Amino acid sequence: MDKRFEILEHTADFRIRAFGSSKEVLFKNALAGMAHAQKKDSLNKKTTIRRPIFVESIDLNALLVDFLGEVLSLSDTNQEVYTVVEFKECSDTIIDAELKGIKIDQFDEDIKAVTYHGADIKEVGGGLEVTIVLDI
Amino acid sequence: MDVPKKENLRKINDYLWEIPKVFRSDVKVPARIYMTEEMIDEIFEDRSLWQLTNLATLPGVVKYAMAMPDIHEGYGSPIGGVVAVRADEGIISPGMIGYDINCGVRLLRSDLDYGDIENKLDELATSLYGQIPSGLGKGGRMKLESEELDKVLANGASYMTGRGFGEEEELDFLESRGKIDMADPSSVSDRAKKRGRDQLGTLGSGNHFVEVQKVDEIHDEKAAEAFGLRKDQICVMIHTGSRGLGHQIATDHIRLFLKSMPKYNIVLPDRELAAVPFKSDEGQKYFKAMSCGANFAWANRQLITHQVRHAWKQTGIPVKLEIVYDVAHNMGKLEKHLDEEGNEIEMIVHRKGATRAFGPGFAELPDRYKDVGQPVLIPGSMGTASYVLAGTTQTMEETFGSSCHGAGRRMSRGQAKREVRGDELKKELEESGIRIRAGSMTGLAEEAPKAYKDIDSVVNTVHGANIAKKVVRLVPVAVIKG
Repeated sequence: MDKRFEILEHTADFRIRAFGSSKEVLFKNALAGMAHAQKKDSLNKKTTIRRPIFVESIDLNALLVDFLGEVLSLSDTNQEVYTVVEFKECSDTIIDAELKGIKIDQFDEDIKAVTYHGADIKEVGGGLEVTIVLDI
Repeated sequence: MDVPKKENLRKINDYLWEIPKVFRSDVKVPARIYMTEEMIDEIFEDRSLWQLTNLATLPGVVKYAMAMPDIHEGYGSPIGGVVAVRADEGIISPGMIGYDINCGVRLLRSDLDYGDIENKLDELATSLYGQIPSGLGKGGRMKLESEELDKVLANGASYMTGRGFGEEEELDFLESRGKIDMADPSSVSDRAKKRGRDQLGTLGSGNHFVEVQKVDEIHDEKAAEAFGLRKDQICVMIHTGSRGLGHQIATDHIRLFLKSMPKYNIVLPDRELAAVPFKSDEGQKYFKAMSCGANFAWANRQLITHQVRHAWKQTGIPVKLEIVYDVAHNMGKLEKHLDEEGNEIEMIVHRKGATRAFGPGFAELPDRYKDVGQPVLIPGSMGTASYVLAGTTQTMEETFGSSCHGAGRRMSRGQAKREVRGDELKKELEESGIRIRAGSMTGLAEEAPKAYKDIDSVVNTVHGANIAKKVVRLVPVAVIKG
């Protein structure tokens, strides 16, 4: 199976490098990476929660950050971790989708925010790659 | 990306370096770093200097973009960054203030010495841990309805003293008396309010803590006496901020500013520095929302102070705990300072990982502090020292009344967890006389002393540069963490 994401070392924050054959797959894998950061075993659990999500941004890089930021906000408010996203629309500036996830008792990591720091989606080896920095 | 190298830095004196304007064509002012020769090589290990020169491009920036000696890479601004911007024609930037709005420190002094409580430290540490909600995603005991949350956002610490959590007189010992008047709860999103609703009175996790400390060294007898501090005295230090509410306010407005910047023809080298004119509708709304976040943090530390007092009472140890001071180290403040021509003008002073350090004579200071300057509280990493310093007249002249905030990390959390076992660290610290109460051994390992830079070097640099003078050094005797 192609690698979905990897966790990178950094001094003061949490970095996820996500991969994808298309922007939708990239976004799904970035979501999975953040879910893993929030709760390590969450990706192995069957989803029981559904929530709608709509995001509009200035460009594709900002869309990814704003999407994950919106997910984080929903997550923190509802004590849930979202591991799956199903898109109704995913253009370069708009996401209209449904999140699926699980209820949790406690997060593994207290993520303050998803930052724009270095968020730059690149074409690498026939696919897409991006590094997202989470402020913790 | 033009990243400054050592040869691009001009040494001004033993504690101050400058990157001249000629280094980059888009900067408006030079950049300055407070640092000694011994520490200077560390700053080339990350991109903090590039971030510092980016600050020098901000519209309306006055005199210099500055960094304190605890400088390290952040988001947009380096941690330890200070920028003052003209309020009439300059910008405001949420990224220059930080996601944890009014992350800050409060110090309480007791009427006890170490010898009075040495045999009761275990009991005290356990009681504190039981009374103060800490840790990942932990909510507080106070769950606020909308109307009450709005009162907290509007009034800060004074709302809490009005509810009986402390005395009104102690507000004199908080920066800005624990409240920014421009706060407007209607400027805060519902999403931010939902995140903050059940987080009042909570520490959070990471490097936030409550510590019982003892005064280890006195460096300035006069200032120590004014601050009510003496050798071997027991104190309590609280480090926390605005929790999810502040984080969401910052996120909301950085996103909005990125959309708004084109209409103001503002182009900046880093999205995390997103900025709009301070006088614009967006700028004013952010400042009002930021003020709400700041007020929430002061209310948070006021409630935690009450919890500390209650925890102490539970142990049966008679004690009087009074506030020495409370400072923010992520904040934007409207202040008056001198510009390049020597005119006093209103500025928005952005401090990200930097502390206000106003000098003697400052009107807001309580009378007993006016002769010696504002207390500046510098928390060390777990198991190392913390400091109280005092602002100086030179601080006002050189750094818009700003100083450092702490030690800064030098090791990633992953590396810290690989090199340190939390349970072994706990045992080691307890053997050295420090009681530890922590929710997570992994979290403890991440915060190991070796993961942080040397606090003594940072503090000695600001002391040597005379942008805050050492008053006392404190060491921990009990640490409570999430």
